[in-house]
Amino acid sequence: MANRPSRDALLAELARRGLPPAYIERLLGELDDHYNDLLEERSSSMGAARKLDFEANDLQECLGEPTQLAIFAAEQFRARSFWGRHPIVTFVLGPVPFLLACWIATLLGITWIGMGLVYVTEHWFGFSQANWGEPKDHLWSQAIMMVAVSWFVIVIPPLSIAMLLCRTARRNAVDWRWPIAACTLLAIVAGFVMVSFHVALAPNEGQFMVGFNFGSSVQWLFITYLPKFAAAMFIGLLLVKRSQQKLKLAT
Amino acid sequence: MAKQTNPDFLNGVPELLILQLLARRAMYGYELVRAIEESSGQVLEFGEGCIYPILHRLESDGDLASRRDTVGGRSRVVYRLTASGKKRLQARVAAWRSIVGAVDQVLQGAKHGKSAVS
Repeated sequence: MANRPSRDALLAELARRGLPPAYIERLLGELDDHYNDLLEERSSSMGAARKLDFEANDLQECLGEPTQLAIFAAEQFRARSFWGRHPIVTFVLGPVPFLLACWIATLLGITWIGMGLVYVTEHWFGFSQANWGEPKDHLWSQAIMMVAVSWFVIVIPPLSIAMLLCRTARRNAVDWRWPIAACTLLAIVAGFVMVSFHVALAPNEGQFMVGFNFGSSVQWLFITYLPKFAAAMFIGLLLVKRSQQKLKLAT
Repeated sequence: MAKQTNPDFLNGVPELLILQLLARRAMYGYELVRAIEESSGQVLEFGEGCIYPILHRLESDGDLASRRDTVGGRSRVVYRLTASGKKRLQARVAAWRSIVGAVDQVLQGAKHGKSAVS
């Protein structure tokens, strides 16, 4: 597709549809080969003047109009993967179950890591509860640990899922409205998450709770829910923007 | 007027033709387009550029394999059918035959009286 205006138009259309640079390069390369074959075939059966005329006018007729060709190429590219073929499943029905699964995995992971640390300190290094002293002697370390774990539980799962979905959208040339919808759903659910903890003053007294907080008061809505939703939404939109920029830079 | 890239009535047909032609021998894109035109007696026409996205998808599905080769003094991407592609072709041919048979039955008015066209 050596005809410059058509080639440039097709390149712009393909890039606009979010197709990856390597794919665009390959497609344009093969269209160039095809175009050269067409020219060769026509030039053997017509004069030079007719050949130039062909270059200018008949290119789109043979290869297809750039916008239509780009739409078709994007459709075929999306059809390669389940995620691209089923954006509703991936970006509308998927985010909440993915997020719940990620939360369960995170909580199980933290619990197992904690149990592992206790086991290692007790069995490998010979520390027992008596060596640590009373829990009230470590209030600050307990509080710092609880806050860190709370942030980890609240922030990491939705952030990971949002990043994963943005990457999926970028790799499958899916319209950007899909990951925005997914980030909105994640932000709605993330806004409900609540973590509460009490530091231990005596052995076996500490408490750490994770759950969903569904309030009904205006105060809850404006002070508890909306700030969390807005923060999550802001991060989600930043991730979508970053993903778009990555693709633009690569193109 | 430019050819439509893939008119609605041709959905799935280019893929079937590509698989069938590549089952005979390995070909590059331009060769395939010409082969489709010749085999169909110039009846089946679509934007020639649309062959490449289909080839790329079939390759990504594992039905085709490609490699750059020198043909006629020029470097081209030559496609060949894989074992999985052969299975897909068999399935597509069977599906196509059943559709054609079903449509034919309707056109001939097998159960519901005489055909409207003679």
